[in-house]
Amino acid sequence: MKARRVRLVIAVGLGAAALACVAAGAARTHRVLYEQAAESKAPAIIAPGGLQLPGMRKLPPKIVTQTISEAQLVIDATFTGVLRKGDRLFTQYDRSKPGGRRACPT
Amino acid sequence: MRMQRYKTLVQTMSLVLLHSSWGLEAKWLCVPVLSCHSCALSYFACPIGVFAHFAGHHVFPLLALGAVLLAGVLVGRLLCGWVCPFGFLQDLLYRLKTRKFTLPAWTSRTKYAVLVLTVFALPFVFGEETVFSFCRYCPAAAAQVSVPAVIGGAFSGEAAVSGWSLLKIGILAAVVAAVVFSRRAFCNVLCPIGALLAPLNFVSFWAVKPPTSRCISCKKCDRTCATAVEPSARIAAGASPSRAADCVVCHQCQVVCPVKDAPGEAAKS
Repeated sequence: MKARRVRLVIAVGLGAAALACVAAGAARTHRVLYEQAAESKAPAIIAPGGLQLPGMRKLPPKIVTQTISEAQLVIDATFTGVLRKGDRLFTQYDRSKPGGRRACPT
Repeated sequence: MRMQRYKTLVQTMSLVLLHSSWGLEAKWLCVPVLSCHSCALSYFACPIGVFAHFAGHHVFPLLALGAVLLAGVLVGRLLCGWVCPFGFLQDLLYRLKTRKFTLPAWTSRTKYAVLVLTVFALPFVFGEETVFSFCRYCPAAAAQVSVPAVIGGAFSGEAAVSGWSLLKIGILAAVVAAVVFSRRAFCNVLCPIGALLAPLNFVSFWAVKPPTSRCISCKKCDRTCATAVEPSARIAAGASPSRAADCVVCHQCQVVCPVKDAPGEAAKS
């Protein structure tokens, strides 16, 4: 009887911890970075077809900070949608575009 | 026999329901069964894939862990026995008429090392795309993703079979061969979801009731047990036979008992 009560207390405690994890996870957000390809400022006539002439340099990508929910991070994790570089998370998806079914990258 | 048919029906329905997404998805939710979220028809996320990626991100997986823990506390490893599509595949393959054998008990501890190393520790150290991640070798992913991709590639004329795909398919073939001879061998030895849920079997709200209060030690339950956890000892002691780490809560021990109590009898005695 005592063992049963101990088991019940542990189960209720773990259940409460699980619910707390779900609630905290649902409320948590993550900061991810997105590398947006920079638009070339060079006139098209100088560089037809993307031809790079001496002296021209490619602009570095613009890094945009985005805040996503943990649920979104879980979804992205299913398709290697977020990668860690150094101590920062980089998203691989352009979230300004409409979502939809994503293809597995592997 | 009726219970067996009922279980097969539930497993078939689970297989279809978990893999019938033609648009709708809930991949923010981890369902603790071995089913790859990279499968085009999957509704839900695989907790192992999510844990491995979060370990690589160095982010604690609150939502995924909460979902798995909640399922485990409520039903223990019932999902392994009744819902997991890979468990269903193993049950079907074991029906093939061959010589059967039981694996040594120590092999069941391997899955805990698999869980700790390939799902948490190595992806944490080497990143989510590490070659040591469980997802790289997962036989369920091979069955759901690699095999269809190889078949699709063969039909479309695009021979794009990577070495990883071949390795995964080779591991799947080895697992398939093993489960024909040893019941639920993958669940017992390698499944990291089984390792996650195993400790929760001891405290879960769902448990198999001891079928009898006057056990005659016929050991029928031991012989029918899918995971060889010898339920007879616990039944004889009046404890739940599913309070064992490796039990997949299939309820077969309850069904085969020849001296089952009448409803309410155990409570009176």
